[in-house]
Amino acid sequence: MQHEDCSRVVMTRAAADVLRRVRADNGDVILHQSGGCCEGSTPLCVLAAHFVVAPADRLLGSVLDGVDADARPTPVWISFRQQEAWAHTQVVLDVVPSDGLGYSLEGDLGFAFVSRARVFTPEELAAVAPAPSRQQLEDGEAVAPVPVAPVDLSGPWVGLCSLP
Amino acid sequence: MTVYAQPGTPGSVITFQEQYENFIGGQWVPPVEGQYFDVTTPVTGQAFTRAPRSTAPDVELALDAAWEAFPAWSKLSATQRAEILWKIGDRIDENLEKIAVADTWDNGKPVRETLAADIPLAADHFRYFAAAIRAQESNTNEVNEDLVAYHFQEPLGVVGQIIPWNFPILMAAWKIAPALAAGNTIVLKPASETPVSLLEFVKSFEDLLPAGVLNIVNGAGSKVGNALANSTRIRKIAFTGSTSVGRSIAQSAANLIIPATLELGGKSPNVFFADVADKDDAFYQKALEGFSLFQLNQGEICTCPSRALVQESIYEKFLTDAVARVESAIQGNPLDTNTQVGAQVSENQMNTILGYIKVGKEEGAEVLTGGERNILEGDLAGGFYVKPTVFKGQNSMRVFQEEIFGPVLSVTSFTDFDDAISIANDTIYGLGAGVWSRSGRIQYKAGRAIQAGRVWTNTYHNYPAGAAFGGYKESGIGRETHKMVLDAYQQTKNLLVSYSEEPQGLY
Repeated sequence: MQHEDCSRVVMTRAAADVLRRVRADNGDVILHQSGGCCEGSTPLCVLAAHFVVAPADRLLGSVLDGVDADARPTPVWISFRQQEAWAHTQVVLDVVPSDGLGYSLEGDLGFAFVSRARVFTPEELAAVAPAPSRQQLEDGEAVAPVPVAPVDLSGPWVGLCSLP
Repeated sequence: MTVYAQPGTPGSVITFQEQYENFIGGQWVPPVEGQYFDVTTPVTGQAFTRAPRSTAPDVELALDAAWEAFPAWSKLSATQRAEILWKIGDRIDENLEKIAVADTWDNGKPVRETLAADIPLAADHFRYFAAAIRAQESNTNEVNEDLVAYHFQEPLGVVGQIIPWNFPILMAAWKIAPALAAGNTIVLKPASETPVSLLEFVKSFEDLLPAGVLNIVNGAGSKVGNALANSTRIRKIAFTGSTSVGRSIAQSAANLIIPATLELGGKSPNVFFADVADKDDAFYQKALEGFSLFQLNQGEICTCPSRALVQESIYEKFLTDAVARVESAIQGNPLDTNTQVGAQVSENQMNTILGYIKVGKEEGAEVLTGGERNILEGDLAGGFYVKPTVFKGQNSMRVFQEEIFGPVLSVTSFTDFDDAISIANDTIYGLGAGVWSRSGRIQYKAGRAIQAGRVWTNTYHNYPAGAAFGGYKESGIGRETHKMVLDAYQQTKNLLVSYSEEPQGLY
């Protein structure tokens, strides 16, 4: 049984605050979870109009940049190969102070989004839906995950998947 | 043993400037908007100089200078360009200690590595491409008696190059030397984590190059990198870095219809077949050293052998011996020539690595050694040191699948040859690999079966010019460190000439 509250990606409140400022400064953005060399594991925040999401890319989910009426969702994409390797973990997007010199847009504000991870429990893994591809979404063969509100990580990492 | 004095203190072989500028048109030029950022050494965590926080107008100035320099530079004979490149190699050698200590202070890597590898290899790279361009010959093809195809290699024009922080100087040399040899001029962006050692490097030979042939603009990827990659005035872009940024760069190149070469990392398997333990001899010790090489450069190498696959029948014995070898490595002051493992490049990078170590533990991987930050003594306490860490687990775990870019090794076992190849290839990357065996048949079969651009066989982490380096799968596109990279910096002009006086008879 799949559960809509069980998201493959969540964002911390601190990161959501920065994301809202990035959107205010730049317009619509996407997050693309990177891999590879150097700061490879960090998510890349780019203008939606500046990055072509591939038909095979997978949508991990959408994160809301707040809990108020103005909160907007930002999609979080990942390459299909990397998603397969990451499928058993939940991506937890957080933010740290940074000298702001990377490629990601939040650098202008003196921050860097970072990607932390939490291993799904077997129950959560059974409940979480597969990450759909852009192609599947466009063809109506999959439903986009429900946007998720920011989470508080000040306590232990529990309850991110609010299973019934 | 030598302990080099910290830069800026009495007796140091290098004193950094208080502030650096961009290198444009042979001059040191302040950034247009006048903004700078503090540069921190990972050795102590302290800021030690400032570098330009440049923007798009600075990139435009650099492109102006590069295009102005291009006609003369591209028309020099290969002999003349090679002579300059050769002299650059000599100049690098003459300044070895100074550049090596600058590199160590910028990046955190042990000075024994910069003295013995980074800088000498950079010098050799200039000499290799000086030789390669001298020896390059165009070819002709007699299609038939009266129709001859002549091929000429021509430079592309101004090329853009974006350098990673893990080898601030050597990775720049890998890209600069072939591009200049081929007759191109360059606009280059250093990594913002390591912006100044490359400038000290260039200061050592700036008088040898005509103004504008090599231009360097420091700043943020989102500003300088994007402006460079999207400029209609570059004819090629070369990038080393992460996969998402690499895709973004490749998309820009696609829009401009120019070539992009990408080196995007790896998760390289290091495969130890059972016969390595047949004897307790020098070769067995070499294999144990091969296992330990994941900690070279603190694991901040795209080809870091970060997955060790060990055959089941020797698993426990080999692992016991190999972990003991790992634990014998000396981590400490990067300026001490006895130090074998230094500091990670930045606090954020250190925290990323520690985050992966946490995930590995959560996934159930067993920590055989390390697994935490290393707080050194004195003013090194503020530096970014991580204890070399060995995990035992399964290949499906995140610590086996992601490029951690730190001194973290994930070890698992395999049953037979097919199982070894299956695990080795179960990764999204394909940059490097290692194969260790006493059997020539196993060496060859495994080397050919592993999907990676370079398979070190009974050795690892050698980077000689003359051996092609580059990736399969998500590790990228293109090859470096071999004369074939000249192709990536040249157009082929074909003159197809008829020597017949007869009409073709078509109309």
